[in-house]
Amino acid sequence: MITKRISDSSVHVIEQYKNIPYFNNRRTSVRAALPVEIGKGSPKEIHEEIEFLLKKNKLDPQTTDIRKLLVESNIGIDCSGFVYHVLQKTNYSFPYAGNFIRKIIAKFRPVSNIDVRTFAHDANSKIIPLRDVQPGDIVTMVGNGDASRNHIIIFDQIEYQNDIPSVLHYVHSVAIPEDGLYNHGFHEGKIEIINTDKPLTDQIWSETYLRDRALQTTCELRRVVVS
Amino acid sequence: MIETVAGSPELLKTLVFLLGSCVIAFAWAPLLTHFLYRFNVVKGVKVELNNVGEHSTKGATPVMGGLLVIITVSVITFLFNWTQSFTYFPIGVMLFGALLGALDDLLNVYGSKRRIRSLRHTLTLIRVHQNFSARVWLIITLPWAVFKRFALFFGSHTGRGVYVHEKLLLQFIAGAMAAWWIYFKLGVAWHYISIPLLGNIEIGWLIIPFIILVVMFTANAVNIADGMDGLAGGMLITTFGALTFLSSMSGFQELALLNATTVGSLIAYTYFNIKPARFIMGDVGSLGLGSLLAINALAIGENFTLIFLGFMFYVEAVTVIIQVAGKHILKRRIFLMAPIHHHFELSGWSEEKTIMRFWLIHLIFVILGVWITLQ
Repeated sequence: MITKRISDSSVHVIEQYKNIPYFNNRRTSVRAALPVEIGKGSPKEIHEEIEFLLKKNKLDPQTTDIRKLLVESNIGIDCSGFVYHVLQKTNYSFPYAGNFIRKIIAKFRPVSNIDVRTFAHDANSKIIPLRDVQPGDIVTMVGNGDASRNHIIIFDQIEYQNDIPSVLHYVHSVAIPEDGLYNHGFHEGKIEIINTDKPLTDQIWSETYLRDRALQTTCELRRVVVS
Repeated sequence: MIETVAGSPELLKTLVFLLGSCVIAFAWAPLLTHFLYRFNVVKGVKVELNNVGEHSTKGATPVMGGLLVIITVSVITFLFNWTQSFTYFPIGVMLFGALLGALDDLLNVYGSKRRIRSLRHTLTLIRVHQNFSARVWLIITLPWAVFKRFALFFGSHTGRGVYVHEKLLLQFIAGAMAAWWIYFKLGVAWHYISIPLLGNIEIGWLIIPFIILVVMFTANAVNIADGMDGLAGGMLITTFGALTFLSSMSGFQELALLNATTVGSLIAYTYFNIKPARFIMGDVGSLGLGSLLAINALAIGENFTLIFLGFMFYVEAVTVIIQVAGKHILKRRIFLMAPIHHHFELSGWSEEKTIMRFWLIHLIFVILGVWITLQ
């Protein structure tokens, strides 16, 4: 059995996101803000924001529940922001940007404008068959007309048996009811492959809610092709 | 020195106006406080500030305390200092600015969430609205709808209150009123910008956009500086005090009286505004007094020294611009928080320390401004 992992720098990013809650700007619709204020901050930016919040609220870093503070201050990471920073690529194109000016803005501020649909567009990624899957590949789930169903996960580790993928370990940022008020954010799970000829949704998922979501949406296994 | 001014009727009159206005403002301040609390004119503190240690109690302080100054100054000027040539227009511009501020305050306190209809929605309504007159109205107001969407694109976005683009448009009108008055009514002597060392530079009609810009910028600068208990009030006392002195020295007695009246009522206002505040100024006071400050300085020809007379206000406004530009261009904060008084507060200064130091820095620059003028 061979195990392949995502690059060390990406593993480092994932490690730093483990204590960061989920936040999606859809509910608050903050405009013209820093990436960190709209759920797209890098671990470094979120760390700086924590220091800023501690200072602003005159709190003691030793006794403060940082996670609670982050949730209450609307700071966190959403699913596409998480994948963006783990992949560490910047040269995305933005086919869904409404007009010419928005396209330029998106090019200058890719992280603020990235979303699942942009990842799932053929200009940024290509569909790959299940037997070719590698660490760093993504699964995009695009809800048909319902953006709140959109989701994206990324494989960080893949186990192969006889060169055929057998277990896919993934990480993602999500908020589900079971997480309660404060424990949402980073999640990890695995997909056991029983038959590479069948689609991903027919395999065994450790997180069943995620498989349900995959079934309700257009679920595709993709590889990001931008530099 | 004392012999030369002692007994001077102008000076005595100025001081009487100052003291009188102070006494009157003190006298009716409890009434205003009563009504502000009675009608609970409380604006929810901005979410961003909600948890900031000492600010956490500020949610319950009523706004619109600026009415104390606006009404006292207007009434005293109307009754005792009403001259067509000089006080008529500054009061008008101040009231216009205050009206806009009051609208914003009231909408913020009592209004419900506002929503701008999308352009496509408007165009569809023009085609399909059942009521013919409504369709005509939508066609007539189409340019305004386009302007609104355009402004929204640049971030003129608010849940409640007056939108930024509407505010700017109304401030533009206030500025235009001031410009019209100074350019056409005061005459040729006001078509100059006086810069030390370079002397007076005639710029002709270009003074009109200059005045509009100065009035808009100053009104907003005072509005921005009005973010801590007593900060704007204390600095405005210094500025209007200097303006009283300068207009008196330049022979504009009516304006000196108007400025003295403002100083008097500002003293009463600041007395109640000092931490913990009984009420805060609100847009009604800050926009009104900002416009008055600009027009009173321009009317006595102090267009260059205005930079010093309103020094800390301009610093506050410029830091906000720098912060927003930094967020857009550098994608990071340049100051911990804008306007700059919050930056110092977050750096560890207490609120009182920040406010009093700002007063003193402002005082130094105002004195510098007066010195430059007297050169």
